Amino acid sequence: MEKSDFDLKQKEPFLWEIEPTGGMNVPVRVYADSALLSDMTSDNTLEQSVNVAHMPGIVGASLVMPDAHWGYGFPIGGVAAFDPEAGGVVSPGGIGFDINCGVRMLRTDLTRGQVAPKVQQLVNALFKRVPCGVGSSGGIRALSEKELRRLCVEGAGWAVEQGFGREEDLERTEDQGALSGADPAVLSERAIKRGRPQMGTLGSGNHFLEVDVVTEVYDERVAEAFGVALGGIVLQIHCGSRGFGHQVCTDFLKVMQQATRRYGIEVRDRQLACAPLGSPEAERYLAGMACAANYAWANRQTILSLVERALEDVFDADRQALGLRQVYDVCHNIAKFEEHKVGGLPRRLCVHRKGATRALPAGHPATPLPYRDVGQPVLIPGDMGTASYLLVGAPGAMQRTWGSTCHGAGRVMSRKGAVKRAAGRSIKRELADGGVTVRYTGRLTLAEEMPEAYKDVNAVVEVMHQAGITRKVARMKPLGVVKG
Amino acid sequence: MPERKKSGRGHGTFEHTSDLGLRAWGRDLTELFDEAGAGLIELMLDPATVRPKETRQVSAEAEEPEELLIGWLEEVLFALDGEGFASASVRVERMGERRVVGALVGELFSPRRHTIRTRVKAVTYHDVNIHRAQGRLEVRVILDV
Repeated sequence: MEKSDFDLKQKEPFLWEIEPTGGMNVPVRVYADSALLSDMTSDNTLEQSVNVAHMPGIVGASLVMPDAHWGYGFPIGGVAAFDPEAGGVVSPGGIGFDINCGVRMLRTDLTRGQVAPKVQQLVNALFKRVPCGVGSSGGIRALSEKELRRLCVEGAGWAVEQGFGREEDLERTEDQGALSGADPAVLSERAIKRGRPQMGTLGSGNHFLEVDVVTEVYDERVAEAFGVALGGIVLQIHCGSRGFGHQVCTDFLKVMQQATRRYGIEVRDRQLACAPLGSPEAERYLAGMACAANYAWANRQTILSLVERALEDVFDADRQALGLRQVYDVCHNIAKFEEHKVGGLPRRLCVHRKGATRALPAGHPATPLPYRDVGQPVLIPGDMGTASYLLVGAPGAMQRTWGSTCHGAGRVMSRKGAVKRAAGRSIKRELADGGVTVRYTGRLTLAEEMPEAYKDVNAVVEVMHQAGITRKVARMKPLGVVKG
Repeated sequence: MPERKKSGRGHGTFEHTSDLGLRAWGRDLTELFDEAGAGLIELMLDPATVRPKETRQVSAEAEEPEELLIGWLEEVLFALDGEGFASASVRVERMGERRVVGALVGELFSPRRHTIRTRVKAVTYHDVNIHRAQGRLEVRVILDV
């Protein structure tokens, strides 16, 4: 790993800045405490965010969230907004391969006392219901090409129509689970081929299903609005658009290499290849990206329903008796047109979030109706041994980060490094000793994903709380985990 | 993955915080592409468990060598992830400036016979740069896992 050597100036207790020099169009602003910042300076995170600051039409700043780490193109945990009126671009490398990778949370009336004796049984039932791991397929029947094309436009609504979940889930999903502008005509045959068999599957890597108990409530009023209480059980689903999204990104990265040359754009990393907003290449990418985003929402909607059935089986009661209700669904990897203020004036910007979550305060017109009075829920999964957080958007997010916040704990150790560190240890037993029952498919995945491989999620969340971007609502501790 | 540093060609890995790095080197582009393809296969599965029952033609086109290499690796990846074809080996048959043609040798993927090592999901363009060092061509590619 290379050490970054940038002139970082502390502006506030949790905000650092790299002033624009050379070809940088904007400064880099890093939200972090000193320990998190030190993680970022030991890999290429800051170098990557400086590269982003060079991109055409970027406004405000190249933003770095406290969980950021070295990615490709943008850092994971990078946020940037581009102005179409100022030569702004869209870059698939600013969204990532797993388009609309995200998290969904389900609340229940179950308590720790009811779930603790049945955790193993529940984890087994989840494992059985939701296919996971390498190239997993068959969560539901394989889709026909025609159905896949329809799903690309309808998103989570398609899944509801198929009997997976209910209409009320949609109003508790970012963008109601369907991004507009999706056009399946731009998809390659390969994307369709990879997408058809994988609906309703979790995949591998850092994706998971988790059973959590609420161990702390910071804001009673908001927690109540979200349906979460101390000692209560919630479940989380973390996954994305599977091979389909990866293929869409792959296809358009190739298009963007050519576009970058065609429009004479200079980028500091080929993964940042881009096209001017409004150009045919940009329009086609955004249409394909929306298809993948909608695929991911349909996938999490389908999985939600499979998770509900597992709960009904294990606790021998229907969803109403169990008090099952979706809290929210957020996406982590996406570009969206949103209205923000630049120099006091409203502008329509293309906001790229790569490993970052949208965070809207109370009263914002895009805050989902059920939560308009309290603010949008923000779901922050931590590593599988420590904690996850439920946060709420605060006014600072709109003023400072284009309505964005962190997305998780963020890796600090390479996968190889983690496997080495885990040698001779049983991560499964260590987790069990900490009260977490885990089931997994990939032998290496568990080692790669061990808690030490991640940053301290408590610190990450605290930075955004102190900076007034998102406020803490509740903290959860994992009881059971299914890993792909 | 064993590295054969002494010879003029070979492949290995390097570390990246969230993903995986693949290194390859060779005396010319053909060797470099052969090595990178072999390296990717070895990262994805154990080629010794794959029987060479079938040959599949693959090709890629691009305007620059780095993009051609990425297109080439995407062929190897898509064979497994999109077509369910496990490769035991890959070789370049014709290397042009803007086009590469080659063959994958292997069989249909079977979860009982083949063990997946790492789920490689995509090939990135991040900092990819084919350069000459110590009289040979080298490249580092980051893979999304």
